[in-house]
Amino acid sequence: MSKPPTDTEWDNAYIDEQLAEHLRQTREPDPMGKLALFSGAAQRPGPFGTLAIECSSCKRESPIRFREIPRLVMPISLTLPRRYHTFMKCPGCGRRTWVRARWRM
Amino acid sequence: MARTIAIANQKGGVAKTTSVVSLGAAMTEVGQRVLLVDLDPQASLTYSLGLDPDSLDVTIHDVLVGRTPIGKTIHQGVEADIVPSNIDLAGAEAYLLTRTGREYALRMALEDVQMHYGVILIDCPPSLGVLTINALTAADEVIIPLQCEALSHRGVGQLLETIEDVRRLTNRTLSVGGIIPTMYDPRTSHSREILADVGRRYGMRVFEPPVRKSIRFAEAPRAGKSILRYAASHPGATAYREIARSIIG
Repeated sequence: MSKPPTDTEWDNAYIDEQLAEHLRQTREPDPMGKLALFSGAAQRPGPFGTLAIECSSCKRESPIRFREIPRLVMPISLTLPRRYHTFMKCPGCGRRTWVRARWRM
Repeated sequence: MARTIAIANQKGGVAKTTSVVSLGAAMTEVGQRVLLVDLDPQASLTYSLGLDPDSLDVTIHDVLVGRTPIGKTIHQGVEADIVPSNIDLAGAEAYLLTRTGREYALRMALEDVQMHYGVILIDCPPSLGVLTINALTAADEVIIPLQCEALSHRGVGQLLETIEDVRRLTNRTLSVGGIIPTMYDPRTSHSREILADVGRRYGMRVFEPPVRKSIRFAEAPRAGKSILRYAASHPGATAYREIARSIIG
């Protein structure tokens, strides 16, 4: 028969449990974990931030890489002085629509 | 515009496909125009409605990789129309993982046919991968079939977390319609306890009546029919009719 835990062992187990709960709550979501299923959420910001596109149709903000820009603006793109200033393909929902760009740190 | 409902639970064998077929048939009975979407590479829904997955020219796979409009994949059936699937859909999952905006592939495809249907039911695969995320992003609500057996609720918490991620990132209006208790055995107190526990634990609506376990559910797909046509007066068929009425409201 195993010995019952001492008071110290109980205390240590309680502290471990509290610590584990604290770590669970404060842990940064891993972009390579389940968030990798979402195209926007999986991208880590670069050292100088990330270019993000906000779409007037889906209202989502999608971070993009510079190499994706040609694919999104082809075959036609237009920029006008308005809130959603550029007509191009939204990287989030895939619609050709008006978007605006912003630098996300 | 169609009301789009995803039937999801990452646990396998909880009667997701049976629920989709039966609810689809029950909704058709009350005059709804219903489209069923098979989003599982195992293609059980496709098979259940009498189609041979391996002999299909175009499936939901072709839609998700952008090769075919969804309208060209629809098979019209007696009990409901269906967008079929086959094992190629496993490849679509790998293809979508490299695409920006991958979560919206199904939602955008369904936009083309939504005006033709009253209800669209999506049969999700038994996993929390990119296909399930597509279904949850395309859906207005999600319904969770849950087997009335011990350990069956394990995973529901993870599914609810995923639903929360989807609300935050791709579909802020997604709601949880409730739980369909399946494979219920009224003779055992165990089944009754599980049912009571699930409603309490997750604070969600539990549809009534629970769907009883029966061999008829296994026999119906072999005949290419839903339980509603295979055994019209069976308690399982009656349960799905009542649940369908509750869902339609």
